[in-house]
Formats: sequence, structure tokens, C-alpha cells
Amino acid sequence: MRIKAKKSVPILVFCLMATLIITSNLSQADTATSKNNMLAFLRNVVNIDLSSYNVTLISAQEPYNVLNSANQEQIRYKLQNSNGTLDATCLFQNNALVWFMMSFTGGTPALIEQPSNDPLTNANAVLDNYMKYTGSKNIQSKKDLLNTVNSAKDTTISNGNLKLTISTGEFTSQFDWINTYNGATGPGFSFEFYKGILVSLDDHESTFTIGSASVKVDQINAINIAVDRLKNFTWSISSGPAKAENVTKFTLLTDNAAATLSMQVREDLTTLYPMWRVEIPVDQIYVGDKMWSGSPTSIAVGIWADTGVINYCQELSYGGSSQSIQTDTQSDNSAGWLYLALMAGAVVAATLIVVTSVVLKKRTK
Amino acid sequence: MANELGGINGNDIYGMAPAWLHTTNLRTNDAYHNPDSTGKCFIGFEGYSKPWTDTTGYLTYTYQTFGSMFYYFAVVQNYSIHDALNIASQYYIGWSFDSINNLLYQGYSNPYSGKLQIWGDPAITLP
Repeated sequence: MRIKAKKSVPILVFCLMATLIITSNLSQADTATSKNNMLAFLRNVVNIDLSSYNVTLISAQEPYNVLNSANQEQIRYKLQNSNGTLDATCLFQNNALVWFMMSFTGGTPALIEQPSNDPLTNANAVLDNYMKYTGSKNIQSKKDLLNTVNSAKDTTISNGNLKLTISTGEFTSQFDWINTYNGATGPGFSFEFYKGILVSLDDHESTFTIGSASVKVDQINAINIAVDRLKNFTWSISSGPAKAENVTKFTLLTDNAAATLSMQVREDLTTLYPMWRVEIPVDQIYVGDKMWSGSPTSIAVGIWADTGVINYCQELSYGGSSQSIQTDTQSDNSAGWLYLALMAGAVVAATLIVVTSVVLKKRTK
Repeated sequence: MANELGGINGNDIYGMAPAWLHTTNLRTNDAYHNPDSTGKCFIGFEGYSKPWTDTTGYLTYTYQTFGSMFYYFAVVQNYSIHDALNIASQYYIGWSFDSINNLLYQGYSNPYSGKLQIWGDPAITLP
């Protein structure tokens, strides 16, 4: 069918307007759903007595500078009463919770039910409530593993591909479930209590699917592939204001190579595949015929464990030193050199902060 | 670098935290969970710093993004230092900041070891 040019313009304008209106309405509907979901989460999982607070929506927005922001929404609420303030933020993806965090000032938050003194009991309650909230059956295996623990001491236990780690501090208790796939660490599910109150929950695992868990490249082969790739690798470095120059020669300290296996995204941002990350320290770096004496350097190589294909190759420069914290605060003359070094570091840090500030200001304009 | 608590001796100041904040009395033991209410917060690396160009292991983000976006959440979205670290960690590292899986907070090694230290009062919000 042919449409004459004069008629096609109004039709195109109409289609454009209709698309904008539909998109706008869909966006508003999603926002309303996410806001309701967040309030339901605060009430039913965090156990907050919303009726005792003035609840204020601070922001509801698409995340800034995030790779997969199109279907995501960051919601922030402030809850205030005479006893204190709660500041809570959630990220939703397709209206499903990805993570939650909350901090509070003043007194203990007003809760529907008082938490137990036993972190295990509280953890079980969170799992039950979260299971009802999401309708997800994936939570049951986590609950089953938790129920094999007798007390909330620092511990790690496994069952099949699922590993639970409980870690406690003076004010906190963390519960962390990690999935592994043929030895590759995948995303997990975790939450944390602060003084018995649920203050964070991460459910990143529900945002991913597994593309392949096949590990055809073992650790030794991964290191060999990395070493082979680095025979033809170079990068540019500069000292001070000098022009950057390419590295002409370096020595790999392969005896100190480290390799870790984890699940990573490949074709898209939601599908995971196993990948080796091999990091090899580098020594005797030459630029031209001069040996470079800069900061400690290594090279990281990412290798897909199911295919052996190299994903990335990246040189890494470390700052600082191997010293641990010195607690001696007495001044002495020998500190002079350290003072100079630290002031140089301070100048670099200050420059970074100023540059970042300028960039952010430009972006936000 | 946060290897040195530092000191103040008259006009002589050494160590990163005293150089920036003119105090040697910041809480160093788990100040992230237990802020000291001094209104001053220092963040620095103990040992070797994590290279900004290194990948965090979550999606394809690097620690450069974590660092700059921590600043964004603290300054532009007006979160406290504690919460800005946490939200940047959720977005770009894939875990809460104090998670056992977050190398910045828990520490890293192989080949170079270090960790991010939070001293003083991370409950503050920048003006």
C-alpha cells in the first residue's frame, strides 16, 4: 500500500504521540507497582509498622549510570516519627526486588512484631516472609540448609551446589547463600540484621539465568592460555608529565599466578557462563631500553571456561605498599619520608576528587 | 593510604587521616557499623589499593565506576557515607558493602593484598 507524502506526516505524528502516551502510562504504572511493592516489602518482610510513621516518597527513578537500567526502578522512602527516622531504598527490575537497604537514626524502629534474640529465628522469619512476598520456590532450599545449623555462630556449610555462610559481628549478623556451578561461583542471596533489624537484602540471583555451566578448561589450562596470550601483549605507561610509551618487555611471575572461577555475563546482561580470571604479577618492565620502576603491576586475563576463548586482557597497577596498619601515633624524624610520600598520595587523591566532582557536575547539568 | 594512623606534632602532621582531617582520634575498629559521632570520616586503602581498572566481577563494571558513583550517591543523591558506599556496592559490585563477598570491605590478596578502611563517622551526610 502506498501512502502519499502529505498524508503520511500526520499519520507519523499521530503514531509518535500515541507511542509516547502509551510509554508514559506504562512507566507510571510500573512506578506505582514498584512503590506498592516496596511498601509491602517494608511491612511484610522488614516487619516495619508503617502506621506509626509519616511515610514520604523521596525519589522514584530509573537508576543513573547503570548498564541495564531500562527495566529498573530505584525507590527511596523516608519514614519519620517522634522516635527516629528510617531511610530505605529498593531496586526493582521488572517490578521484582533486586536489593533493599535501610539505615535508621534515633531509637529502635517501630516493628509489627519484636525480633527474637536468636538470629537464626529471625533469619527463618525473613525467609518465610520473603517466600510469601515473592512466591519464589527457590527460597525453600535456602531455608532447608539454614535449618541444619544449630546456632548462629560464624560458620559455613554446604549442600550440593548451595553454600551458606553465617558471619556475626558486635552489632550484625549476615546470612549468605552462594550457588556454585561445577566449581564456578555464581550470584547468591543474602541479608543482614543490624541490632536484630533487617537492614539489607540482596536477591541478585533472581535476575540471572544460566547459559552454560560446562567447564571444559581446567585451572592449569587457563593459566597456560593466559601466559600464551601475554606473549604478544603490551600496554602504555607514563611517569609524571612524560608522554605515555609502550612497554617493550616484561617478565611474568607465573609461579605467583592466581586463578578463580566464577559465573559472568557474556552475550547479554542476564545470562551467565563460567569464566576463569587469571592474574599474573609482572616484574622487570621495560619501556624502550629503560627498566620502569613504578607501582606493582599485574595482568588479569578473563577466559571463558566453556570455550577457552579469551574475554579480556587488562594490566593492573597497584598503589600503596604491603605494610599493615601502624598504630604508633608518636611523631619522629624518620617519619619525614613517609610524610612526603603520603602528601604526594594526598595530592593525587585530591585531584581525583576534583576531577570526579567536575565530571559529575557536568553530567548532572 | 591508610597504613598509618599518623600523628600531629605542632606544625608537623604525618599520615593521611591527620593530613586531611587534623585528628588522630577517629574510630578505626568497625567504624562502618559503629560510627564514632565525630562528624569526620576518612576512607583509604590499607596495604595495596585496588586498581580502578580492575573488574568488580559483577556484570562488566570496574572499581572506577564504584568509586565515582560512591561520590555521586553521597553528593548528588545525598545519602550518608555509609549508605553511599552500600548503594554503590549494590549497583557495581553486586553485594552489600559489608558482604562477605565484597573484596573491598573484606580484603583481597593474590598477588597484592589490601582492603578499604572506613574510619570515624560514616553516618554523616555531606553538606
